[in-house]
Amino acid sequence: MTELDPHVHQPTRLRILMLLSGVDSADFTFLLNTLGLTKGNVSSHMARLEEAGYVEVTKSFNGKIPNTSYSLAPKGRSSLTGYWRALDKIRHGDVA
Amino acid sequence: MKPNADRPLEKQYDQVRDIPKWARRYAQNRTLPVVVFEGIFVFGSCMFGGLSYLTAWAYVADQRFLAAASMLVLCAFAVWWLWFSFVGGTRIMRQISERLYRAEGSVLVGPPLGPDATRQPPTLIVFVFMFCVLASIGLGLLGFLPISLMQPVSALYVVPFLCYLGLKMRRIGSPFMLLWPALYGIHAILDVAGVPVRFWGDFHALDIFVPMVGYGLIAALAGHFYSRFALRRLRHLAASPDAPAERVG
Repeated sequence: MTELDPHVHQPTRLRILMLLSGVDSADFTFLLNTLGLTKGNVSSHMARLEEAGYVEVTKSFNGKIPNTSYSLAPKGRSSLTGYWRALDKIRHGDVA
Repeated sequence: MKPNADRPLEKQYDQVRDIPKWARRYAQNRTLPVVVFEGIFVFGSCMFGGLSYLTAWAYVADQRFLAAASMLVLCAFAVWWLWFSFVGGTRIMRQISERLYRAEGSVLVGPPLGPDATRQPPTLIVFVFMFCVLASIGLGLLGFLPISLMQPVSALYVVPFLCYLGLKMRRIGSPFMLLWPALYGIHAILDVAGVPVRFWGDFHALDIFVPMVGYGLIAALAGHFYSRFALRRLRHLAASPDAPAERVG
C-alpha cells in the first residue's frame, strides 16, 4: 500500500506547503489571511511543519514590529513532490 | 462561496494543485509600489520644473531675493533627489511597500529587497540609458533634433531599456509591466505616422513626460487589479477546511 506522509496529508498543512512552494517566502500574516484560520491554528500547524523540518523560519523586525516569515525547506519540497506522486498512484489505481 | 469541505475530494485536490501558481501570480503582481514610485517621480519633476521656472522668472523680473531663494531651494531639492536616487530610495520604497501591503502580509518571489544583483540593472546599462537621455536632450536643445521627434527618438532607448528590465525581472516582476514599453513604442509609431497624440503649444516636454508616466501607471494599475483577482482566487483555493465557515472565501 502506498504510504502518504501524514505531515503533508493533513488538509491545512498541505495547503500551507503548496502556498510556500509557489513563492520564496511568506510571512505569518499572509498565511493567516489566505488560509482564513485563527492565529493559534496557524501557529500550531507551522510549529509542526517546523519540527518536521519541512519549513524554515526567519524572524526579523519591520521597524519595531516583529515579523516571522516562512519558506519551504528542501525536505518539505521533496516530501511534497513525493506526496503528489503517491496520491496520483492512488487516484489512478496504480497502487502496489 | 462554498467551504472547501463541501467540494468533491477530486476537485479539491485539483484546486490545491493550483495554489502555487496563483500564489506566484499574486506575489508578482503586487505593483502598488510602482504607482507610488511614479507619484514620487511626478512630484520630483514638478518640483524641478516649477522651481526652475520660478528662478528664471524672478531673475528676469529683477526679483533678486526671490531668485536666490528659489535657487537655494532648487539646490537643496537636487541634493535630496540625489540622496533618494542613490542612497535612501530603496529603503523608503521598501517601507512604503510594507505599509501598503501590511494587511495582506508579506510574500516574496525572489530574494528580499536590498542591494542584490538580481533586482538592480547593471550599472553599465543604467549609464548607457542615462547617456541616451542626456544626449537626446542636448541634441534637442542645440537644435540638431526637432522637438517634435523627441518622443519617437526617446522610444528607441526607452523601449529596449524597459523591455530589458521587464525580462530581467520576469521571475519576480509583473508581466503587465511589459505593457509600459509596448504602449510607449506604439505611441511613438502613432506619432511618426501623424496621428495627433502630441500636446500643442509650448508643452513639448509633456510629449515625453505624459506617455512615460501615463503608460507606466496604466501598466502598474493593470498589474495591481490582476493581483486583486489573483488574491481572491488564491483565497478561494487555499481556504482551509478547518477555517470558520464565515471566513472561508
